[in-house]
Amino acid sequence: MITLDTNNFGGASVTLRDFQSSTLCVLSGKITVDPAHSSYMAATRLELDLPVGFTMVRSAISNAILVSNAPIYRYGTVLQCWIEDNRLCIEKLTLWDTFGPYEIYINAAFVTRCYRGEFLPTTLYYPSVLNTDQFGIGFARYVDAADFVYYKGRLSSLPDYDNYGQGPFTVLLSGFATDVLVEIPLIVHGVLLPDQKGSMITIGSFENGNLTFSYQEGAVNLSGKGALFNFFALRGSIY
Amino acid sequence: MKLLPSIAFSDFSGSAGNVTARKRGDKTVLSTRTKHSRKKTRFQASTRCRFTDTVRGFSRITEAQRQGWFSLARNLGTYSTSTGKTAISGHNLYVAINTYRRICGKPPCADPPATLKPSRSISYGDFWISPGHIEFTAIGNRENPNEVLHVAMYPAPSPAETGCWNKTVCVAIFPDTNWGDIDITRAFIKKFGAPLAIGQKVFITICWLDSECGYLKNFSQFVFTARETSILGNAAYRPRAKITMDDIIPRTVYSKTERCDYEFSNYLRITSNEIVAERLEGETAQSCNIPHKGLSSDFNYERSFQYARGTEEENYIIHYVCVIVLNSVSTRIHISMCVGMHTDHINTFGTYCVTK
Repeated sequence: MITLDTNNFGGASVTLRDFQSSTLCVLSGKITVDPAHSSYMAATRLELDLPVGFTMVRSAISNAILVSNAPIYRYGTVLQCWIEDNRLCIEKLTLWDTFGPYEIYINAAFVTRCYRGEFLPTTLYYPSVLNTDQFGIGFARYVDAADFVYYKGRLSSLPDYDNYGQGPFTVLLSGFATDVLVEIPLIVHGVLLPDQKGSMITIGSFENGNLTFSYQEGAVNLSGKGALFNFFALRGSIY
Repeated sequence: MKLLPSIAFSDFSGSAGNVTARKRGDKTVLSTRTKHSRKKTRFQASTRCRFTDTVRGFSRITEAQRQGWFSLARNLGTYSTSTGKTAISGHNLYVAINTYRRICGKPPCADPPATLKPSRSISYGDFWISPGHIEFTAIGNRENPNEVLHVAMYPAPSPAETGCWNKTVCVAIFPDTNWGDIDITRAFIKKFGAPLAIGQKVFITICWLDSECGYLKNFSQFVFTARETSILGNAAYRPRAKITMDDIIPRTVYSKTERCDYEFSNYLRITSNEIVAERLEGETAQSCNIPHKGLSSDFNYERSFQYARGTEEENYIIHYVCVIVLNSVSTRIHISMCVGMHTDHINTFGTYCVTK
């Protein structure tokens, strides 16, 4: 765990789970941003000071997910995110500021460049869905490293809101690490609503090797649609 | 200019032909006039013009400013050059500082700098000095945004040449390193007209130079003969597994690429990349092809599933794209839309594991 005490947008102290090496870091957690704060309004990008001794001074581009506080569907988008001069920097987009405080989810790897060594073949795993009568996962790729996991895929469809309500719903998995606890945005894709800004998002979490998520109240347009996830998370992150 | 102790001219000051005698303390020294090389290359003309202009600049500054330079020179004591330490006059300090400032692209300064931040030597990992590659790796970070890397070189025609540091000339100024790397190959060929030959001796000085201050003091010096393997690790040259705008064909009838910055960053085959492209008429609605000119052998068939984002006009809708780098029978980057609104603009970025 690392604590980022100071930032340039008037936010509170942030705690992130971390894996650090000189060429690869993985950070996992969320940041709350208040668009009404004067420091936020003055900032051109969001900067959070990394703790003294953080291994990586500078990284290549990575990503984070902005999850707004828009009613029902919590619209958001993907943001650029990187490490520069011992700061975690995040692109600032103001499209959802009028909905009040929003969250930025960081479940990402940060790498340096100039690697000139050999590459190892990537060993892929394919966690299987146990409750296939309810769920299916396509485009799935799972990398299980010693200190972190990387998992991406697409839930083929989400349960019907009218029949099953808000949930919670659990995708039972076989083959996903049971020592990973991570909260992730699920990007829901379907028919675009008029004037929709960003993508519909709901929050899920991986715990005990399974994925659990629920709907916001009234989120009827999430059901029946596919949902994407793509994240890095820390092994042994159950404390 | 050469200084010679003289007995015959002990009471004489003045010039005769190419010889000038002057009193220095209780001694008289002779100097001969510098022989003009008469070379008229573009670099020579540029250097002479810059030098002349800088020298004349000293006469255009105010008396107070001149006194400031005299004072700074007195306080400095000795001044380090690539050929050793020397006492320096206010005039010569003005010329030296402003010469390096101009090399770094800064305008000359009339006022002497408040403090002289000396240049510093570099730390590095390894380097190749070969006909095809003059590259340093893992150079330490600059300490402030004004610092630039100043690289001077001299390729000796004969391996018997020694101590040719006064013959090195500025080959390149790098505003920063490329993740610790600098590639001097193109700048060297542009400067000297031909690549190094295997076995050719080359003198190199490199330093981090504060471009605002222009005070060259400390630097790293290298003299090596060119060879194919790296100087420290004796390793064969291995390019980085990266794709830049230089490696692709940015405009075809099918696509227009504004940005392409792709690299494998770890032995686990993790890519960090940013690609901004536009699908033009002729492609299928779901995909975009960007031809490349051939990549390192580390690339074969590399596939990553990535987030992408619509433009502001498209309300930043999140897409999901599949980026495939083909580098065998087909040489292109193929980006297909997996999920999301089909749009002509592709803006994908981030760090992802590459998976087949």
